[in-house]
Amino acid sequence: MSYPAILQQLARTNPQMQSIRNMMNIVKGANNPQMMLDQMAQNNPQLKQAMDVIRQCGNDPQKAFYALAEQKGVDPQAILESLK
Amino acid sequence: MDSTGITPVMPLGGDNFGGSNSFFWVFALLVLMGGGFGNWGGNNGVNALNADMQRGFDTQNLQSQTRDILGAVTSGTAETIAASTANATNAINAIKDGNASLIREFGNVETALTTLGGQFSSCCCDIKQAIAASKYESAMQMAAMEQRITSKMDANEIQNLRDQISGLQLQAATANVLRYPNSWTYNGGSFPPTAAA
Repeated sequence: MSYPAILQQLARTNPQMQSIRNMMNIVKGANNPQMMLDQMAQNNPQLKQAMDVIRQCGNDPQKAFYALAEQKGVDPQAILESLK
Repeated sequence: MDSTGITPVMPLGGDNFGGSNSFFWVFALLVLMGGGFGNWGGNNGVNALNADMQRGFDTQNLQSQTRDILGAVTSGTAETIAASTANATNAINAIKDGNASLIREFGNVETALTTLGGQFSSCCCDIKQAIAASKYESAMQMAAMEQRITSKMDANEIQNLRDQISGLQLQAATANVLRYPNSWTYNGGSFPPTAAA
């Protein structure tokens, strides 16, 4: 099974991926997504670490995502498909 | 830090969440980094998520490495096969060349033997001729010797005859010649002597 297919299967069945998608929908529906995200980062060290990575990449999350995907040798499109 | 005690994170992206896609990249980055919602909702499966994600990464890496290894093996195998084939071909050609050389050498030997055989035959003929000539000469010499011997025997007989002739001739020549006796015999007559009458 290819890696994108693995991720898609995880997105459908894995509870953690489902949680991420739920949180994403919550932030998307918030009146102030920025503040919501900041509060999440206060309570979640991993999210805070992700924010730090984004800061290192010039506050550009998209740039940070593609840079980290390239570093890990992962197909970024496969991850994006799993979050849709 | 604002009054709420929450340290705001620097604004993200150019639209500062004005758009709806900026936080999407944040969560995408979070997924890429391995999740991390262990503190949310009592999820105890974060490690499982991380493990699944890591297995996904590892699987992809293994597949890539496997492809590289297979490619190297295939290339190496092809090169090995090509090298082995080349070596075998060179060995076969070398054997063929060696065989051809041996065949030529045998041909040369056969030619030499044929020539030698011819020489032997010629030599034999020469020897036979020499023997025949020698026999002839010997025979001639023998004949000559016999002839000489025979001639010598006739000469001896002739000489004997000549000697006899000479003796006869001498005898004849001295038949009327006074000969002085070679020996004397004295005779005084009878005793007593008798008167002459």
